[in-house]
Amino acid sequence: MSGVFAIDGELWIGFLAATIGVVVSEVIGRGRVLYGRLFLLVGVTVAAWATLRLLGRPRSPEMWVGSLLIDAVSIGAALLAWFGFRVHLSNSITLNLLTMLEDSPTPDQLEGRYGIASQTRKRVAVLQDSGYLDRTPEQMLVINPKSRLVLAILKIARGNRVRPL
Amino acid sequence: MNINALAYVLFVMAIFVVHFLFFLRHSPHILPKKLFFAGVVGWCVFIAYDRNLASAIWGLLLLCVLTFGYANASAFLRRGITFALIQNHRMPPAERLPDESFIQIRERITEMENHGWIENGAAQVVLTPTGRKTLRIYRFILRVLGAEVVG
Repeated sequence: MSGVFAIDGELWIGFLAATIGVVVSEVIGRGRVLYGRLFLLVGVTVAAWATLRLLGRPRSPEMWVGSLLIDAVSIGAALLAWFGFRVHLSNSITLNLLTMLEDSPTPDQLEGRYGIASQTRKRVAVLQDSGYLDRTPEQMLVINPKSRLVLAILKIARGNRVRPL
Repeated sequence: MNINALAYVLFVMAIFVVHFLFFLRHSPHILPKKLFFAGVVGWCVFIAYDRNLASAIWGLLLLCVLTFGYANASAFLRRGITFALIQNHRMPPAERLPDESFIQIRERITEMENHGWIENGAAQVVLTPTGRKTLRIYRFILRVLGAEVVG
């Protein structure tokens, strides 16, 4: 190994492991929804990281802690970026609308094509199925402890504003 | 272990955490330019101490990837309809907005207009050459990844 690689190659282990995780999960999990193969993505990344670390030189425990932090941040950043990109590709309303414009519809026609009511029902149903909203005996949808946890994060990110930015 | 890299990682993590806790909710922008600039300053200090090309490239890549991921995640949290629906259902029934009101197609048309993807969308929504190119690239990426549009 050259001097440069021997000294700094280990900085790249986190990115390399995340790249392996992304490629393997995209190939093996092709066609499955992203949330359904999240464990595959994380599992392969962690396995790749552990393998790359075990192949490296042995080091003292105090060096492990620093290296672990550098790797964790590299992996976390790479997976966050990839996950965000993938979710945005599939879930963006604007990009979805873009696919409906080839015959130049009017705004009203576009609203009809998108189907606001059915899309909203679908999203509410997903929230219910995933355990973020409960239905009371009076058929009212209410939040629960799981959604309160999400609300605590949302309060930091967007305050108490109900409308999207 | 590269001690300069560790210090750089700690600095980058600190500025992102501080931004998330104290500045994100007040920011009107999705892309945190000032945060990225602060990261670049940290990166300059890092390479001044480290003086290694591989470390410099890694440091800049880490900052770019982290900024992209953070911007995406914050956009997801702040603009996501699903999250707005949860917040809506936190309100007493009388104060809730109709769930359908969160999907504003007209605002999306304006957004596409601002991107230069469509011509003035008041009467008819017509794709511009940039819009057609974006659509082709979008469909290509979807095909390569085998992804489905659900938004």
